[in-house]
Amino acid sequence: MKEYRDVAKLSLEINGETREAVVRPSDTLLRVLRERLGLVGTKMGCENGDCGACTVLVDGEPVKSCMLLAVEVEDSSITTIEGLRDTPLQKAFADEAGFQCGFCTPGFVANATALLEHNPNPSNQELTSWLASNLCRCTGYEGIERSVKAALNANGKRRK
Amino acid sequence: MIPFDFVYLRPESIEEAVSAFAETSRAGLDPLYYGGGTEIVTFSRDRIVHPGAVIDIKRIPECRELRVEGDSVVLGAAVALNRIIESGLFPLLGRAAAGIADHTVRNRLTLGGNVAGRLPYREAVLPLLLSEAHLVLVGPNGRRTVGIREVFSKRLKLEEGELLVQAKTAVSTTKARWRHVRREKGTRTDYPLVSVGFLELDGTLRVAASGLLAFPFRDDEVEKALNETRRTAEKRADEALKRLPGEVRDDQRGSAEYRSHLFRKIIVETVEEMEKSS
Amino acid sequence: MDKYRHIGQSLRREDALEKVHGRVRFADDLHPPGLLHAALLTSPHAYAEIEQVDTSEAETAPGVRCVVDGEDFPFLLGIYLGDRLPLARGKVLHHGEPVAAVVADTEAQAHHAASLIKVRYKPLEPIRDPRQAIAAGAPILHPDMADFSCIPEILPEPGTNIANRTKTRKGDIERGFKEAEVTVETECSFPPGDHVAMETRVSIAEISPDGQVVIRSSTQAPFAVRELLNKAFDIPNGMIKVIAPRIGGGFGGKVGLQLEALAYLLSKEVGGRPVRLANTREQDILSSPGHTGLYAKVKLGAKRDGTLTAADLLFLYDSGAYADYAVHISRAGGFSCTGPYRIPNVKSDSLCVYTNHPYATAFRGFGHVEMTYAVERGMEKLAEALGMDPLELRLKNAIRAGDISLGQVEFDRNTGDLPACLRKVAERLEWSKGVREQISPTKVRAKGISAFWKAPSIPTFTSSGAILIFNEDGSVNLSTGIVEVGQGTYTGLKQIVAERLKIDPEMVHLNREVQTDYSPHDWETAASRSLFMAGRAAIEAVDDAVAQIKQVASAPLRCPTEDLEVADGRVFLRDNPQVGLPLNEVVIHYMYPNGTAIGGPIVGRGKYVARGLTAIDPETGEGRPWLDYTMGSQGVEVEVDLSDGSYRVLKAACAMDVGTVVNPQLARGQVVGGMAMSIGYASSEGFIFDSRERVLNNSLRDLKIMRYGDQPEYFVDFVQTPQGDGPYGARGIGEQGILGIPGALAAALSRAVGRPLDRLPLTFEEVWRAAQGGHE
Repeated sequence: MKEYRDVAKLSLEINGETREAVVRPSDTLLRVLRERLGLVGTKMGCENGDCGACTVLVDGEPVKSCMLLAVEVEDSSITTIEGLRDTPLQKAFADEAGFQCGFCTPGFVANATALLEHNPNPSNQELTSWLASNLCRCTGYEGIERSVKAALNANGKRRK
Repeated sequence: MIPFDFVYLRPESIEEAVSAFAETSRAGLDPLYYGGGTEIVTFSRDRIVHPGAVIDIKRIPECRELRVEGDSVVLGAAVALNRIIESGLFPLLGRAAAGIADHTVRNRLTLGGNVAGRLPYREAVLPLLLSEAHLVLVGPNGRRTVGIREVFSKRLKLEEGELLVQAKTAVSTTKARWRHVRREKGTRTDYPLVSVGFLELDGTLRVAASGLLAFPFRDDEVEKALNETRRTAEKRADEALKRLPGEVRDDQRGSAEYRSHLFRKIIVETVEEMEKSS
Repeated sequence: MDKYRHIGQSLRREDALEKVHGRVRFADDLHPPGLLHAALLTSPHAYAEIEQVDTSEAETAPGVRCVVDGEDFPFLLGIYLGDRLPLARGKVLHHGEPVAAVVADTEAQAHHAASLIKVRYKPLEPIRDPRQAIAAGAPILHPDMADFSCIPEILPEPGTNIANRTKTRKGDIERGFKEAEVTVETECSFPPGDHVAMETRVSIAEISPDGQVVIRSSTQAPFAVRELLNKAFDIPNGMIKVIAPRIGGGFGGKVGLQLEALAYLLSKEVGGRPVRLANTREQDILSSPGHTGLYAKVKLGAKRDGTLTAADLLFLYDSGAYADYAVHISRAGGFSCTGPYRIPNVKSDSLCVYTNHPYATAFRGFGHVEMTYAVERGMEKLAEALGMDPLELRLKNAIRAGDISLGQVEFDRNTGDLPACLRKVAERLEWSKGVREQISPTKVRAKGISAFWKAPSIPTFTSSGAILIFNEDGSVNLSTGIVEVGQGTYTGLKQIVAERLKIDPEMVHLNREVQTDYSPHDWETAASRSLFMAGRAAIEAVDDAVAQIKQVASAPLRCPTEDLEVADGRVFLRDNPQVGLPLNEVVIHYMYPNGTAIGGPIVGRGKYVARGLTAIDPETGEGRPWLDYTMGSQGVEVEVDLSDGSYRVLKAACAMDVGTVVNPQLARGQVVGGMAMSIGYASSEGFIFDSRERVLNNSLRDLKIMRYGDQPEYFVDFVQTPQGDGPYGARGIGEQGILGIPGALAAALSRAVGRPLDRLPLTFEEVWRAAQGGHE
């Protein structure tokens, strides 16, 4: 049985690298990423699981890092926005103005990246179901929709 | 950010989990079993819950089952809702679960967490009530398998230190005719005003609902009203509303009047639809 | 835009790659070494006396460096009216008001210690809405109002709960209503609420041994922060440095002096060490200011043919517990109170009223969302009473160049073409095909249209500065005091400089952060004037730099400066372009072959101050407080299920006259974002209070903004009547997208249901209740 009874050294696999951090058992993954590991690309918008700005990928799945403990994911492969570089999706967001203030963008990019991996040809319903997990206050979602769909088309697939 | 400290334990078996609970309980740490963590982490932030220890059950094999075993569908308490939805093993449960929280949260939010958690909606319990599932519980006094209606009344009544391990439901029941309707105040990513599940078995219509009252319910009197075949759908709905086992909820999301109206409407539509296609 | 190379292009945003890679350092992404953390204790009551604050247990908690309450900080703050203490003293006036603060080594320690502070309150009966606040017998929330410092434009009324009153008296109101053949009266209201920017507020303050105060904050107004810190605490302006990085949305909510004041005071308490004060989301919604609510009464009179003759308007803006910007919001609503309509006889009173609600600051639209909603409800009722097409009624009365404003100023040729905007929206919604259609026994589709206008509501002396410096590779750095809040002004400025200097936009760099010790002064990034004014200043800075370049180059090129041109990175003879020099041989210095150098680093200087603004007469409203009116029309098509009130906004259309569109993609983004915010405002947002006037929905779980999937099909059109004094003819655009949707939505839903819906938010339940009342 794994036991964390006090502050401990934790080894995490992040963006393909092994990183070590000193953590409390009650530290959320979000706080450890931002405050112990300097990965401030992942944002803190509510710490209540409502806004999605803290979304990262754990074993390829989008999760809200404010809602889970760092110690839970020590054996998982974690991807943050820092681990996504010049992907077609990011290019689409940049070209199609899928953002304005940019605060929600890392969360949307992480979530949409996982979606396109999971299903390169999602229906509108699936797209909506996934992306409704993230809030944006600036764009009215039009730019985000345009960006994600442009990335889908760039993959050479036609949407249903 | 959780402003206090707690111990984190991650057992690999049910026995380890139960004895870890007992040990931390004896040490005065007020332990909680921990599944997806979505509730425990967010509620700890404001000290709504204040555990001194959390016992992560996600590595326990029995808690992660998601399969057909003989004539039962076995659903582990630590299985994330999205996995249950994707499996297609219990379509009514998949549908009821698909309205809970949002897609990303459902990658962590577990069946057990929803059924045994603090939030009063517990929509994942509705299909279990409707299908009269059996729950596998293990505690300091051993293992028991009980019909859900024996241990669920407003909430899951577990003994001290007891862990919900699995829910089991008959495969045949999962294939029965069903319907689920969820209505919200506005946007769909929200708690429900009403979340109503129906199952038709042996010519009888079963109903269970969350959001309407302060707790999820399935009630014999309400179902009797629903199945008064000599009455119109409207009259059955009116009677069902009269027999609710509690007061209709009135809060910032909606008035009791509106909730009642929605519930009534759903009953009428469902009765009419079910009868039309029989 | 064929006549321009860069203006009118949808140039990719200058921060695009940074933002899609999560590389922007927002305020909370950079922590100085040795940072301490603060946590607040806030009031659980809407209105109560503070009987006792016991901090003894908190003081001895682990890691705690100081614990303070209202007694420690007796400094009144307020940009226009100084009515607010950083921590409540003696009484609390709203749910969530900060009462005490802790500074500790870690955030967890600070939060833990804050939970150990014990406060004893005596709850009082709260004021629940502005009508109650001005009725006889209401408790006076600010009995010391007469002692508050106050700018001359604001007219508080001590002994009452009225923080400001703005009057407009144009023409003869009695005659106006006598001339009217039809009169309608309507009342409407909506609650206060929150901006819900995705980035919550944070301020980090430290004080160096020589007394220099350094504040890093998520603010739209770094120079206002500096000014207000000086006024509140007597720190010399030159000893205050405010750093404003790019922020994660502001929408008006990050203007003025907010967490910075308390962060500074806390840093002072711990000997100048850096202190971080960061809101939780719940505090961001409740404890930091939100936006005003409104109660309005509108009376309109018109002739049978629809010509408006008179308007009598009462606006009671619910400012909550403190006045902050709301005194100007009510003033702005006052001087624009008719909406974009020609009305010869107008009487309006616009009041800023205190209640026990969370207090309000600036918000997108600055009082105009509220005012527009009230006026548009009146116009809809008038159209109905006249039996007239609501579109025709608006077209008939739409403001045109040559009309006289409420302040007795003529609208000049820079006036937008509102009729063109109305017609465009009507076209997008297929208005002529009908405005209500029953599509099934319970489902109805209906349309609504509205008109709006807004000018920046700014001090008469509002200004911007710009500095242009050159790099060795011939690229330039533009520095302004504008904060990039997401609106894309930096990209617009890049295009303006590229156009004026005739270089590739990729050669134009913008400052990433504003720092008040070296960025040029700028009033605030708000009010839809940033591109206008900073753009004008940037143009002047380019012209200034070009003149200097020509001056230096004329020596080695041995020619008059008038013969020189600067373009494409060169300075050359206009009539013989081969003869010239690359800019990078001139802009730092020019060196002759023998080694002698002349010139030196070129620094282009630009400035712009709002032209011709005046104060307004306190009795009549006469004057010109507005820089430019951006006018437009919006409309929606909805599909409603009358059996349960549920509805979907199918289409949302907007047509605005913005003059030149500098960047079409970004301009569209601004308008679409405004419409999305507006739909939320009208249909699902707004505080919900319990029986003791506490806010029930102070988290994103309960305060619902639009989610992906809720969005309608958006239509955005721009009419382009040039703004002669705007940069390349551009007019302000940032706010206007939010203004007209609530009125249009209420109109459409009222049409669907057959009964007037006057109270926001228009939830499904509200629509259902109205539908229960039956059709007319």
